[in-house]
Amino acid sequence: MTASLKTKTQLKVAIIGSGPSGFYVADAIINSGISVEITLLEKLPCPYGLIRYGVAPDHQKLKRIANTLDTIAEHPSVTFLGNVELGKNINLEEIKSNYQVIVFCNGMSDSISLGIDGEDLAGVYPCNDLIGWYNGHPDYQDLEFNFDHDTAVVIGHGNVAIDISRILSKSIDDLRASDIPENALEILSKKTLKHVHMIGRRGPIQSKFTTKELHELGKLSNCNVSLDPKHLNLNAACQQELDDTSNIIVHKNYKVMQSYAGNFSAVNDKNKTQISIDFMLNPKYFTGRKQLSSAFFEETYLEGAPFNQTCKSLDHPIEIPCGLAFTSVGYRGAILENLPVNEPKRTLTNQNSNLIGGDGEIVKGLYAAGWVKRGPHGVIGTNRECAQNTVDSILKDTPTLLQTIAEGKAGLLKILNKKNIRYTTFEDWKVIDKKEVDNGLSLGKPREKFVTIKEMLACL
Amino acid sequence: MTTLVTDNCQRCRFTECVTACPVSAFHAGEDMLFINPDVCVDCGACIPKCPVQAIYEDLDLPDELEEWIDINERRAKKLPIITKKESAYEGAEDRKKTLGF
Repeated sequence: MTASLKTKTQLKVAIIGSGPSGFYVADAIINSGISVEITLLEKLPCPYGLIRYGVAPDHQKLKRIANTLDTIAEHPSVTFLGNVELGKNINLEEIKSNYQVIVFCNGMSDSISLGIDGEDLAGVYPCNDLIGWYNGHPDYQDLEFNFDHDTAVVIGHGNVAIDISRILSKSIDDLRASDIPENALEILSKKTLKHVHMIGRRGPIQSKFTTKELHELGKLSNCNVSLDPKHLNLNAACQQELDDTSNIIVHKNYKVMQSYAGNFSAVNDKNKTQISIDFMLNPKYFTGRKQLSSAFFEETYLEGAPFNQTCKSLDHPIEIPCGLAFTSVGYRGAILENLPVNEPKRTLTNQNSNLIGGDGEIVKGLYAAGWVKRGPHGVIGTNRECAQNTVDSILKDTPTLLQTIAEGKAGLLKILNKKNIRYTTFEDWKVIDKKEVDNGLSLGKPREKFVTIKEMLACL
Repeated sequence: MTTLVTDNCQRCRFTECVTACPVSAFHAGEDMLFINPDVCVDCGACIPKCPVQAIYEDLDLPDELEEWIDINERRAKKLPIITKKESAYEGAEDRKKTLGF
């Protein structure tokens, strides 16, 4: 094929964000068999997004998903360009002028705040701060944590809350086998926590845990997990939700919770960290003098039809004295290049994955996949299905999109070089990766992460 | 820890599960699907996808289905990988009803 013909028939696709969704979009396009050139743009020098910075550092088996992503990155049609940040060192017009298709897979990196008094006290953090910090994310390394407290509360009943509760409760020797960076391990080694409360506004049937994570808590050798058995006495609507055969995860979780209810009145082993799963508590405010000293909640009850129950507050204030609070009640997206979003989650406004502009019309060539398209729900695998749906939309539009000529990667590289941007390639990442793994070896860890962009670039 | 497909998949083969697998761990046999335990990362994404609840994690696997751990390991590796949803078997909907779903 001549160069000019190739230009006319080969679709040039830029993907913003190299987390699982970005990779799965690339994979689905390749698998469609069309002639394509794909550029994966990533703001950090390293790929994988939440696989590297969101999956818990002690869940190394899950992080093996990166092996699958590697095979996608190494496909001849795919180019990874790291350290290139949309809105910072490159703008949307510069990308648009070189690609027929842009797919936003930039996820959601802001934690939703509770919007209650006292959230600004020292000791109160959005979950993202702690997760980013202990996962070695460069944006979270300036945060200061002090774990020298008796009690922590984690507000939220999803897997993120479980991850945080587990990391706070696990023995430091167990944590040393994870890939938590040494600087964070040093601070975590001073933790004195005796009690971690995992608190939800609603009941056991409405919790968003997956069974494996819930079950894993009970297997921690230095912890005792309990919950008040009264919460397993369900109202009629909750019982119907539990009995629904399509609700398999809830059913499995309920069984695990029954075993934790059995620990409720057991004599506490003083050497063990107590993890309490507390239900039906709505956070009202935090108190303390500069430093958090108590979290206040109202008891709640559920009202309404099955699967549509709403949470009402009773006038029963409950105080939990604590020195640390982590709020894990969800994420929202960032405002990017004035693209229209749906509040409050800030998903990109779209129709069948196709972005909608400020005028309410479809914007030709712009698409979204992953959290930024559908909201912060689902597990990693959910994004593969989501990416396939996005690519189905792209493929439908491809004949029209190909009527525009685009230079693709070559054109973008000209801009990056002109601006003197030190972008990283996948080969660069492999060098960084190898150094991290080598550095981890002597410490008995899967890897010792570089926690600043400067360190990552310095080893190239 | 392992995740596996059990006999409810036989003669159904809805294949919804494969679209959610982040590591392409499913292999297609003529009768049913199997999970390659060396590839699976136990993320659990496939479990709620199955309309007949054929997929289990070993932590809640009923005793009478334990043999399926070995069967998955043995058969998956000899069969082709499946990543795209296929049509379910004829009669799958009837079988789903018979199985109580």
